[in-house]
Amino acid sequence: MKFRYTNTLTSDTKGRLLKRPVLKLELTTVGDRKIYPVGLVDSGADLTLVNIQYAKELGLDVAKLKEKSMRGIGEGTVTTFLATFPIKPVELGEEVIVPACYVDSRNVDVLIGQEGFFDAYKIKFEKDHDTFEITRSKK
Amino acid sequence: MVERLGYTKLLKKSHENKWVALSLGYEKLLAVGETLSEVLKKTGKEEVVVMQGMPNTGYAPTMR
Repeated sequence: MKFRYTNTLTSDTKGRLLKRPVLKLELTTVGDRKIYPVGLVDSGADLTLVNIQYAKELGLDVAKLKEKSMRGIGEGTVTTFLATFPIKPVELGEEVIVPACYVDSRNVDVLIGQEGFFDAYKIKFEKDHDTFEITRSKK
Repeated sequence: MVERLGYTKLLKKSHENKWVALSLGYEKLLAVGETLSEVLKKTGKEEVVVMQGMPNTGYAPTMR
């Protein structure tokens, strides 16, 4: 399935709006509400990173999670909390449970990293065509 | 082809570092708050789009 890159509020060096490969995700909260975060498909991230505020909505007890240090999202290394995260892009209609690091950061909403998601799907970025394509991996 | 998500038109500089809740089709800004749970409580709706308003800067993972 092909997706159009989405505009951001940020400009590139030529003053044009930056576009990013983002997906509308579906999450079911512990209270059985449906919320729809936006996830950036980030081939530069080893793991999926999720803002820690989603942990509460998913019923995760952060105090009981294993800590994992990550870098690249703040000064030096940042403490994150390792659990899983269900990635269900609305248009794909299927869910993949991936390992995820929950982090208390204003720089992270949902970053869809490589482990789990990029293993399950073939992802083809075509920035020159303003699109990216996601298909189930045949592996 | 899945078209681009239409939330950009609803986000303003004042939403940077805040949490926002939007209608499912990105037509309306429903709530703004300091936390995700706050905006979910404010909307009271069963289904909403949520996101953290990111600063108006570029993004790149760092390496060393």
